[in-house]
Amino acid sequence: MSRHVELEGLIAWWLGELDPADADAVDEHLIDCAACSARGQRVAALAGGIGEHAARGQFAGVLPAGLVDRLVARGVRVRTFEVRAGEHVPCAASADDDLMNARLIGDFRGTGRLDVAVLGPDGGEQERYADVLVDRAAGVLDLAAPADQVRALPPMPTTICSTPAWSATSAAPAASTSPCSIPAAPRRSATPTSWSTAPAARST
Amino acid sequence: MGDCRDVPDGALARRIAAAGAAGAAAEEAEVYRRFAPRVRLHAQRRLRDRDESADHAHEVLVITLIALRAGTVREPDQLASFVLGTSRSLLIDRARTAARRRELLARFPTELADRVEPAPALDRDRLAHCLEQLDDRARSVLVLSFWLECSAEEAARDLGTTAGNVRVLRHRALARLSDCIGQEGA
Repeated sequence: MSRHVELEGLIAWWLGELDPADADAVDEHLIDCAACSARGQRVAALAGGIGEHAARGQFAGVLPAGLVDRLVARGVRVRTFEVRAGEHVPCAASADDDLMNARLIGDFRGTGRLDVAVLGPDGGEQERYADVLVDRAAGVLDLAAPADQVRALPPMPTTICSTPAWSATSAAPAASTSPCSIPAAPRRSATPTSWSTAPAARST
Repeated sequence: MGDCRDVPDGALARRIAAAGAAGAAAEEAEVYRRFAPRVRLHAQRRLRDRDESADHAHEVLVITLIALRAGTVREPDQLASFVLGTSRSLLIDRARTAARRRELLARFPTELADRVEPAPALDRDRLAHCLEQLDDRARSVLVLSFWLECSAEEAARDLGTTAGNVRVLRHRALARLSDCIGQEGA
């Protein structure tokens, strides 16, 4: 192989997705090309860094279905609290946890785009996750936060809300408005829905 | 010690062969500097271990330098092929004993390895910051692909999309992450 290897090709090579003949051709090019080798080393370094980051449970946000189970299988210590719509569940992260996961269980079918917001004790929006990944068939949504960040918080009630994306005609709701009370249109049967995960008895 | 950075592979190989056992220090150091990171990458893709890959690269380069000194590299202009072939052979034959390895590695001074640029290391805080800048899908596809080593098909099932889209997502996400970290970060 004499042509330089593009990033896409380097990724496929690194991940072992190329057939053996193509992988050999990339090997031959990389051993002979300082520039592509340097880019390959960059891919390797990024891959390693992503792994180290993930292994420490440094996830914040909505995780795709199945990822939590995969993380547990790789040794990440995940504390999962199942919360059904309308429930109040005390939750906390202990010193042994890497990741805290609020598994929201509800009926997300037919929601289209789904946004999730986290509200503080005063009802103010603390975080918003737009167009999140949700397993609609299973009715499960995993919202995670690094356990070390959770441990640093004082005990407090937290509410998690979801809402469909509001349409252009109802753009009035500002980000500062609780999405649970957004007069968003069109509202669908299952949303907005709120979960509460409070008050947290913080343990260490 | 002269700077041989611009000397082509073949010329380096011939000079080392001409010097024989006396050694051509500058040329040998340049061969080592030039190829060790590439061999390390070759090994790392298979071994997934930076330290083991660095040891492997040292071993491959020691064997290469011994062969160059002995004049047994038949096509000096194809030095890269010789290095790759040696790397491949050693990766296939990883069942050799630790004692044999130690004896071989002791034949060349470890200072050669000290001259090689270390494998790129990322600033952990910078990486964390840049990962946070990505959206959930992009971050998830990176973790699924590069840490959990899910195939594009497996990641696609988790993300509710197609394998083709996963390949696009991961490529874009890695490029954005790399850009965010910047050249100094690697």
